[in-house]
Amino acid sequence: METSEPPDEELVARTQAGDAAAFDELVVRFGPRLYGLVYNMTSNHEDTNDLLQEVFAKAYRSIKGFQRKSSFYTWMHSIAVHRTINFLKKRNRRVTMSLDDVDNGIANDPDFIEATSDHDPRHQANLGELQKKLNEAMMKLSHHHRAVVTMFDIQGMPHAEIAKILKISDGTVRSRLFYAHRQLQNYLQEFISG
Amino acid sequence: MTPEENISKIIRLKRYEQPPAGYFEGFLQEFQSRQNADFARPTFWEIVRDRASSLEMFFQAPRLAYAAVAAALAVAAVTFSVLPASRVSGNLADVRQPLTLASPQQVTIGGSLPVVMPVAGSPSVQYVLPASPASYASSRSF
Repeated sequence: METSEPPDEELVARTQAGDAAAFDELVVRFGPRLYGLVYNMTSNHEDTNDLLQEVFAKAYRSIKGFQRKSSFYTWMHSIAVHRTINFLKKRNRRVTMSLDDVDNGIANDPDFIEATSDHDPRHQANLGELQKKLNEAMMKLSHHHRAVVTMFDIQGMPHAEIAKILKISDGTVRSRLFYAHRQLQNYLQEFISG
Repeated sequence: MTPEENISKIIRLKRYEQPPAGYFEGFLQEFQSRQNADFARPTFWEIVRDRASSLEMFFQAPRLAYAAVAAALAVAAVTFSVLPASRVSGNLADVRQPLTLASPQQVTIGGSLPVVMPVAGSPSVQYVLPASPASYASSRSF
């Protein structure tokens, strides 16, 4: 028998009524997605862990004031992005992560195979090199551009959703994305098949 | 495929960067323990209230000291007011003019009148006759 999971709104209402277990369910539900968002903006697992703990703690403290003007999903992402950008403004160090952090599934991804194929000597690269280049390229973007690229390219969010989270216009999202892609093209020239 | 689509494709590979297996189970436990610790930790207003009461105790101690000093002053004032003023002033005069060797001292010898003995450093030597002349003394026969 399949048990249907309660919708976000119900869990939010229960949390607002003082049910801490309901918020735990929200942590489990949103944890992986928010982890990806924060991690791809910081490129550091330890910082991501600390930030994510802070994000959920902040959300838990503020949830009574959440008035459902936006979805809980948007609200949580908004807290995570703004907190991460504030953190990045204070942090100047750039840390690369270890190879162990990459899921093995990448080896079967057609985009990865294409990017690291050996049909062109310029494309010859291994996983470590691609990962290193990708991270370096991402870290060269400004915090705001990186946030847009993370949400659009990595997390697959639509422009309108990103605009709501960042509280900017749809046009600004598109222009930031265009500019960021131009910069990334320059940094990752050797991996782009043309 | 446009270069923009190409770059999006490569960036998308970052989705494979994942935390270690079992991370999220540990994450929830860490979150719960942090929340419990925060719950046990005093809030900002509790800290303020605590500090305020400490400060109050700090001011209470001198208040007792002031009371003790005031009581001591009151006792001293009462004591001085009861004593005769002359005694107090005489005592003070003695203190102001201490005795010196240069001052003449009165010495009484037997039944004679007081004589003033010369003291070194006196300006002039004074001789004082006995109370009765020697001619008045009774003759003695052996």
